[in-house]
Amino acid sequence: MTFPVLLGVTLLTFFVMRVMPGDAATAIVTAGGQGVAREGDLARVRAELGLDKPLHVQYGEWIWGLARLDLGRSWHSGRPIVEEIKLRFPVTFELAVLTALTSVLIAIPVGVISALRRDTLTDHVARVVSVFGLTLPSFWTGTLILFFLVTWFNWFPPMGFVGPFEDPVANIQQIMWPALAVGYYLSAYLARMTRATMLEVMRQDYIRTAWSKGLRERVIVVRHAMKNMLLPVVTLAGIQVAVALEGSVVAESIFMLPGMGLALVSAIQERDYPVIQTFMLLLAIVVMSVNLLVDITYGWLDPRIRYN
Amino acid sequence: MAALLMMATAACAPAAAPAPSSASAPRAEAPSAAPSPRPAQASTGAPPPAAQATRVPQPQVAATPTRVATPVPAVQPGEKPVYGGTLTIAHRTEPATLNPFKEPSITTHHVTFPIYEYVLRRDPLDPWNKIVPDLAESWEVSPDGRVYTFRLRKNVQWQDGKPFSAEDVAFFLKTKANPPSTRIALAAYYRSITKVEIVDPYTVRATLERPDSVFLMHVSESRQPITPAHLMKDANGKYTDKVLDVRAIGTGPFKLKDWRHGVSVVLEKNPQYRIKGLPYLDGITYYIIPDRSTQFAAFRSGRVDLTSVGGGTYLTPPELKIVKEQLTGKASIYLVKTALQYAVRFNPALKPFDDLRVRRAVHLATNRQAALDLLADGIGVMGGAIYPSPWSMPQSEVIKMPGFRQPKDQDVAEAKKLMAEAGYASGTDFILAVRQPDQKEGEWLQNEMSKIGLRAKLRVLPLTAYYDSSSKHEFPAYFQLLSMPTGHPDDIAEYYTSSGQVYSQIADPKVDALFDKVAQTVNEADARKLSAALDHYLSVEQVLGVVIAHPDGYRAAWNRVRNLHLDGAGQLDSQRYEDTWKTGE
Repeated sequence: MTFPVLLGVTLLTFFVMRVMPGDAATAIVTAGGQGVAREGDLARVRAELGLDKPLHVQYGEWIWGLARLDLGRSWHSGRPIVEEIKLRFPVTFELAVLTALTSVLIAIPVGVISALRRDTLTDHVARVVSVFGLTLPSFWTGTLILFFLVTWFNWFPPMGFVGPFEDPVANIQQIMWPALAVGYYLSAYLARMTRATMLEVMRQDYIRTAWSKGLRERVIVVRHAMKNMLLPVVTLAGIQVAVALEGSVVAESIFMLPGMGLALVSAIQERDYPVIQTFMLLLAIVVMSVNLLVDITYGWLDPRIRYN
Repeated sequence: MAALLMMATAACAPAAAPAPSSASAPRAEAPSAAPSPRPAQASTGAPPPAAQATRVPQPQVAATPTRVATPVPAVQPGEKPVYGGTLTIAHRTEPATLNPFKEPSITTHHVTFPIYEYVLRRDPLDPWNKIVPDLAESWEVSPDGRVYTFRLRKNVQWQDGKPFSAEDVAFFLKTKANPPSTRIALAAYYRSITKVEIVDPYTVRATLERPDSVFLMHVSESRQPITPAHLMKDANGKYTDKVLDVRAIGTGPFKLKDWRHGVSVVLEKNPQYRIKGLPYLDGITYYIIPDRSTQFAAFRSGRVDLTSVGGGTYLTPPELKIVKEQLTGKASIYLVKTALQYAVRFNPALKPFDDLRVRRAVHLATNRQAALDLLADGIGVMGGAIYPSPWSMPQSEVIKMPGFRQPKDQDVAEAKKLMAEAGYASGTDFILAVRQPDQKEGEWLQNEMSKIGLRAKLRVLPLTAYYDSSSKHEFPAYFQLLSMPTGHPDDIAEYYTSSGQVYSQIADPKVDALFDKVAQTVNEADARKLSAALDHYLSVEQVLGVVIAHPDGYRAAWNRVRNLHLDGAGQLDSQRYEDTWKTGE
């Protein structure tokens, strides 16, 4: 099932890019518009890049390269794409994981408490805060966070991104804010879903039985309600990782993170086909892996669902 | 360390006049040279053309509420340079490569300016008027204006230890004159070179096909640094860009220490720099900051000393206000002359712009002051086809001319009259092609032109599609942001002349003749007068294009950074920071 989907992704990316007007050769020859394209130059660069070959040949060569784990070079910088990925993927991955974690850590407690204290002041406040997160775009929240850090505390995250293994303290100081900005935005839907599911679960017969047995609220929620509530929530969280990956473009731009999001957007603007195709494929693989993880989690959460 | 240096310098006698900076003072003391050591310009034979130029009035910035009153804190007499410290600069985009020989993009050059040097460079203290020696200590031009001889400095080293010589400059000129590949920056600058000779190990002679008044300006253009010939040839002696793509070896005051992709470009001091005692700084770090608000936040918090230069990174009016009001005395603003122009170019082969009256109507009706206010936050200048420079129509006259002057009532009425005369009393529709990044400005122009009945349908095109289209001359009008790196008409020749240029379908022999004449006039003062006439012809008489605004911008720096030669510098002017220092921190 995975393989045909990935193949489909490669086909789609490949052909959609070539349908778009403008090509990398013009961008290179005019040096992004700072020069003039003369006839011979364009033809020469096109031949260099292999753009003059028939489409199916270009596609075949790329796929063959992938099979040999030769990801090719960027047309814009000339650097091997493998290097770009080694540099940028860990950043995007770290951000996506922390964002998803933040959104879950905000959403589940908020959703559960909202449900248990339904229609009280706590519930209303929680829902307002939650919807707020939905209405504020993450780039605005991000910019606002930086603005307040500078004006109220005269503090700014350390310049120059460092990985978590190089300097964990500096890394956290840099990455907690984008994770918070995007995580807050994503937590809104998740909190609402949690609240709704929780309300649904709390109405069930087995919960009523637990109440009548005299169990405390905390025990009921954690031991009986939680796992049942988590199924739809986990599904949504899995989808949200994909959203977190795409939302990272904005976070990377504002918080100066050298991730895949920004690189992908630049590559699209420059029609850097090898980079676009490879990055899209990689992102598709990540999203599919996350979905696979979600499916496995189902099995753990609900013994009635079994996969071979 | 800084404290020790300050005590040591206090003990030394302050220097009176700038001494030649070859004084080899030990590094622990400040050199006896004054803060801006510029070697006296030695010239042999005919004085360089630039020295004869008469000073032209500087372009006026349109008076607007955002004009800042805080004076730029110049270095005070008696102020001593301090050694040490790292200068941190914001940079908007990750450079694709660090190879300045092949890459014309300013994204690359801004981070490599401190690493490389030129044969000649624009005087950092007067960049629009004067050219001064750099790696060449003097130069001569033959009386017929065709032969240029450069005498190069001796005892200059590349940062990998090899000696610099005429071989490097000759290789540079020859390769640019006959480019072996398409990826060579601005090779067109050297198209008129017919011969390059190495006269002796430190003298290079270039012969041009015809005199070219822009030649020295091209040689000193900031994107023409000299790169090491020994690293640009492969084992067979053929040109290769592979080495310089990953290594940056220049003769300049700073060396490349580290390039962390997407994060920063880190430079460190070059202890073997040819001017002893310089640079003062230990290093320069360029941080890649794509977002404008983030850049200002980083600046404001003090993590970044100097904001970026380039489109989309200049300070917005609210940010200018913050620096002016909240950071008075601690930070300053510097005007950057971008030499950019928003211009619409007409295709006189297609309706309705085949009629001069229609073109003149657009020229008269366009409210350039409004364009400046709305599109450039009021920061910039108005002008014709040539960016206000020693080569354009005098600015003081321009602002009084019809089309430029305020109020516009008389000119707009005249414009409507011309439209009626041309047979368009009820207006007409046409397609205006616009580059995607310039869409907002294109919409402004669309609105402006509709006031006289010219109803433009905007065709917004992504960059590569736009250039495709303009090379095919598909549409009657093309709108884009243009740049004039030297301020000389040669910068815009490709848009207006008929000789094999791709953008225009103009075949006006007078235009070609004027451009040629400006190029071939040997006396610079005369060439500048002819150039002003050319500007007038293009902008006012034939209206082959209308420039709606020349937007400028501001950058900010903390006052602890001393001796920045930024005031009035151009967007493309090289900042080498060799005599810049930081106090405090």
